[in-house]
Amino acid sequence: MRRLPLEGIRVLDATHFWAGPSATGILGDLGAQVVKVESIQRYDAGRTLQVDLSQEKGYERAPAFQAFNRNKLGVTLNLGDERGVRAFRALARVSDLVMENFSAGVMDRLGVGYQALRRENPTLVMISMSGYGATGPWRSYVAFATPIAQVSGIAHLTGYQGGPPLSRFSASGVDPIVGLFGAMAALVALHQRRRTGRGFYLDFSQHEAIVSLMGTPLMDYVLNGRNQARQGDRNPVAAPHGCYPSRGEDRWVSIAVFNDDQWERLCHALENPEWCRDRRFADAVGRHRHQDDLDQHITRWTSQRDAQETARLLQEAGVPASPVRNCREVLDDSHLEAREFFLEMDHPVAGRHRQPRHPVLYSKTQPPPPRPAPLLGEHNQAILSGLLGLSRETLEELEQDQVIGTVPLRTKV
Amino acid sequence: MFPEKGEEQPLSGARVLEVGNYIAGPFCTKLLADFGAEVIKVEHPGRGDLARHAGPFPDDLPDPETSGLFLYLNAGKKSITLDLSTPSGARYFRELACRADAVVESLRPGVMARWGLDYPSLSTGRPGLSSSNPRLVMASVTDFGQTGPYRNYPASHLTQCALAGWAWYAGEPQRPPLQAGGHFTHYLVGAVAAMGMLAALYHQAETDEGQFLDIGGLEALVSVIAPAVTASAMGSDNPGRQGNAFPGTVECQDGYVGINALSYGHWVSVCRLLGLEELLDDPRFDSSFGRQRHGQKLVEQARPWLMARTKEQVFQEGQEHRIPTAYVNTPEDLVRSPHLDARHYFRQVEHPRLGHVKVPGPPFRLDASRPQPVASAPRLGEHTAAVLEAEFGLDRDDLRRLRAEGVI
Repeated sequence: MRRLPLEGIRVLDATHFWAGPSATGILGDLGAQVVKVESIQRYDAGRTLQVDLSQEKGYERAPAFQAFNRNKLGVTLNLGDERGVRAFRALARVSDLVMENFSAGVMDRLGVGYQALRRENPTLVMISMSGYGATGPWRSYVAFATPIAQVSGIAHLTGYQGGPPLSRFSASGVDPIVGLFGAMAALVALHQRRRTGRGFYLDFSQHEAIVSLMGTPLMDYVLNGRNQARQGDRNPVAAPHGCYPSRGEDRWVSIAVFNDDQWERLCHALENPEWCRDRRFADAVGRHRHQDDLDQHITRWTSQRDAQETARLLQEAGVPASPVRNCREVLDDSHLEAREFFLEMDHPVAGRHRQPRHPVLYSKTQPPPPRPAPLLGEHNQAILSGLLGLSRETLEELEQDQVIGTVPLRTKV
Repeated sequence: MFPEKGEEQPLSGARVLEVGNYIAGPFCTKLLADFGAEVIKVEHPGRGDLARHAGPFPDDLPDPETSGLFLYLNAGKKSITLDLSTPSGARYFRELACRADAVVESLRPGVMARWGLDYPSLSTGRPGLSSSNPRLVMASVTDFGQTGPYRNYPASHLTQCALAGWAWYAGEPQRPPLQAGGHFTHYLVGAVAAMGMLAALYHQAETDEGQFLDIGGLEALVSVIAPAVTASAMGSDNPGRQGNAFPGTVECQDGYVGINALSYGHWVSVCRLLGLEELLDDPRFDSSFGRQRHGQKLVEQARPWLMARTKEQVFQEGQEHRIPTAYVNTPEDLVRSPHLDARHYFRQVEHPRLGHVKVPGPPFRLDASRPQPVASAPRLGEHTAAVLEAEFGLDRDDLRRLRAEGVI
């Protein structure tokens, strides 16, 4: 029988929005049992993003919620009620890991902070994924994805030459990247717990995780006192290097030439037009110095052609090139198709759709076909009775008093 | 020498061989080294890792032993040189792999196979690395993975931003799509590989079972835009390039800040903070769509207020009102950040040529109160003799012979 890396590990998931749920989503892919805790008073705000909430059960339809919460079990617990807190603590007793991304102090105030949970379970690992960490002058500051992109250096480096910094660098922002590091933190913590048998608290700062991706510009400042600036699509050593207009409305092809070999291949693929023999373009330094002129020649060539075809022609010649694609085109990619990158999901409310799979292919522990994201409170009975042993009468009473439930008390959070 | 770690670390005792180059592969093993793994970097004799030649260098003077990028990515690792294309180089590597827990390689697909150093050796019929060490975990980190129609395509940060559905969404509507700043995508692919390695090493610790991990960079980059891709799959279009649309970044006295009024509650706080309460009665700003569409009006009216303040002041005053303001940190700001300093984020390495150098720390720490000491990045082949002596009992004559043959 197949065994997944985290089989037998239970994760109590108190995260919400995108960063936290994408972290625990990865742990679910790796075989952990993830128990997602929301409440009918306040459901995961990730259920409200990119979706029309006025639809029937709109809160079950949000795309990112579907993508990040597959394989999880859904429980609702009102942590404003003592009985909800008791149930949460009881879950902590039978869990290996608790993850949360509330503002600093919220878990403590609710009575489910690390000190309270440790009393229940000394081998428990708890990870708080706050914006700026639990110590330092910014510890209590509010942060979301956009501020983290601004504070961590990406925004400063993304933008046109001479233009303002741009916070948006991809279709989805930093949250899922933070989530990747959150999953990594959980794995490191589980390694450590396996070794020592002891639980602990891990203070995870979203800001630090993203700053760790800024190696070159940070080291340039450390060594040379130089503050690197935005360079649009250019590169300090490569030319031509950019997104070039192609045939059609808002179509572009990206081309990156780093060395003489690639340059010769490019010229050959273009059938050696006269300007390719321009002596100014004979070496990398010259091409870089005269890249404005070079770009004009390239643009004249690319704008007559389909971006996809240009990219294929250049790729087959050994030149890095690719069409600039939107998400719809990414979904139709033949390579990703060949690598079975998209999971076919069938959700009772959100319907059939595709979503990206776990990014790593494992020869022995590849995740089995996933279950779709849980409906609000879908597994209340399975978890609260099945796992915690609460009686049917207790569940009825809890439902009566709105400590648990499956219907949100209001549609907006 | 390698610093003594006071306490056992999560990966203490794990030995990882790295045949990495530039950023993705080395960043993966750097993360494993951050948490206690012994990483032996196997470099090509003479040339070494591309990151040694990429800089930044002090005063921009190229020198393979002073690259800042190499220092950041390889601090705390060991370096040995082995020409893996020679039979004896490949043999030593295979024997090292028998005594290792993991191998991370980021060469083009098929290159390790050509040398008989792939996981199960498909090409040569010789035993692959796994047949002599079944508990070995091996990861291949490439742009497109080991299979599929693009597997042999070259790629770069820019072309991957374009292909993965990133660039389309960055920049202004009438101007070219933009690559993400820095070498962001390379780091991300390395981070995905590290996540996979940590999972596979956990599995190895529990079951003694090894396995092969195929990491394709394009997949790593698409997986972190899952919200937008899934939205497209469910039929809703993501807005394309919007430039610096509100809430974007806005200029203040000494740089740029983000005001980031994301919810209506933030909007109310922003209007109060800026003394623009009259906008609260303006119906155009009632919805988040409206605020985005007309946000430029707020920015214009707020200009005098913003230009009278530094980014630090805007940040602090906004946070006092619980608005998720942020300032756009430059590399300088980050290196000098009082917050990161209070959290001991950066660490010092003692470099034999450069002296004390500040390098970014790990992305998270198990014990944030105590910065982990770290050794400098290795000189090319610094540990060749020590490792080959300790592992295979080679003496000076053997080493001299291997050197003469160009193997090390």
